[in-house]
Amino acid sequence: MDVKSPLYIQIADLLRDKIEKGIFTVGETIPSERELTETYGVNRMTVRKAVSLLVEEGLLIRKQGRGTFVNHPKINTTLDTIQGMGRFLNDMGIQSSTKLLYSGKRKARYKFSKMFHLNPEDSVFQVIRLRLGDGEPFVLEYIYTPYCLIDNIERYDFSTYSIFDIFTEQHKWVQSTEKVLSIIKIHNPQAALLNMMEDEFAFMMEERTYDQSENVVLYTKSYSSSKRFKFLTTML
Amino acid sequence: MGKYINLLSEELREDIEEYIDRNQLKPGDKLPSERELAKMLGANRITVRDALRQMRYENLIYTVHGRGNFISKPYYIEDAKNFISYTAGWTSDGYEVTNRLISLNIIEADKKIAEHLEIAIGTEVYQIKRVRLLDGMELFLETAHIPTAYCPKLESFDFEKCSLYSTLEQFYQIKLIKQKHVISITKLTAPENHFLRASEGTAAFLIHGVTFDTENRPVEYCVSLNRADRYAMSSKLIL
Repeated sequence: MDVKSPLYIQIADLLRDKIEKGIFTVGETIPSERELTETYGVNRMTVRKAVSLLVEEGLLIRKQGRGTFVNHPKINTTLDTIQGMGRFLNDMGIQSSTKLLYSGKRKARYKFSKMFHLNPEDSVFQVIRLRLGDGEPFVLEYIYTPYCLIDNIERYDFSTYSIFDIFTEQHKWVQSTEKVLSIIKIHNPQAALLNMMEDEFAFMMEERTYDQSENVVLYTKSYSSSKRFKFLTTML
Repeated sequence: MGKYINLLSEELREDIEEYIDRNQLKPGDKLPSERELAKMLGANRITVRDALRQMRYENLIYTVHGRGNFISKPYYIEDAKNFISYTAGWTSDGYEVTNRLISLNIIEADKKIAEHLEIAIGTEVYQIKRVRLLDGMELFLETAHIPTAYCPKLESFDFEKCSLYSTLEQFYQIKLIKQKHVISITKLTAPENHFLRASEGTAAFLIHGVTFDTENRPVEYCVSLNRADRYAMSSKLIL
């Protein structure tokens, strides 16, 4: 430990270490502020600051009136591969599920008429769904595709089907995907759906998928909490 | 559906974006006032305010107190390919790349550094802290760690001018070929925000990176803070 670092950082490091070593386990409360104050002989403000830091990092989670708990470990995903999220989570031992919130038609209007080369009056198909890991929401997805692109798009169950599966099934070949990852402040209704507070920072990923003629055929905008989620990349 | 998407403000937001697009508003241009937008787009002011808030939260516009809303500059978008050839990557995208050296020290590896570099705790490593600028704008704060044993006398190079990776390759025959990153979100606090000339609390990408050489040996462990108000990451994938 770096003895030059501020006391609260040192206390946070100690707590982090205990979480990593499994001395404090997922879903359990950590000792109270008073107990920590006594154990480490530091004042209450220092303990509070240390705990807040770990809450900010997502290692701990505060539950109103019930104490501070060790949070579920973060879910890692890659920025550079398209992989069925479900399979990915299952590989990590996390029980994944998808909750379909909405699917249906809407007018392309200006935004999607430009993106998909449609008339503003044409329809696009919109899917809103929530990805859960061990029952906790971690990604909220808004998916858009031209309505005319897929035959009978309504018949697919988007809580089990991946869009790419549908494209493949209907022989719509896609060529490339472009992703942009940014950090935004989250607002409602997205915040509430992700069990986040409004104004917290979140990842926003925009993905545009192109066909062979370089037309956008699929647009996805997704939000995820950094407390539940990290991105991994490997570059060669 | 209203529970999952605020249809009114979403449509209004699309209308505002259409207005920006059709009138070819540029970064720094002022948007019409809430009242004007409400009148022009036939919406009430609360909806307009909500749509504008969403746009502000997603960094599309910024607000100057007492003066109104303005179009943000687009993000500096970094292609994932740039990670390993930072200078060349940004230069080929047309940006002027400069670096400001904050410190170059020899320190003892703590637990975290030691684990990532697969060395013993207490091993001497160079710690190189730099601010990296694009077109004169402070965007990234990088703290690199490299064991001193791999590159003795590294301190004799000027890392405001020299690329770290080119130096390793040219003078130490260490060719870096692979990089792993873990990307999360943090808020800038002192002193980091001062180095980046950003206000405290600005969101930033927190990136922990380990770079490997041709022998698959971890050579560099780097912690970067990238300002999220000006920067986004991208990757293109051929399917």
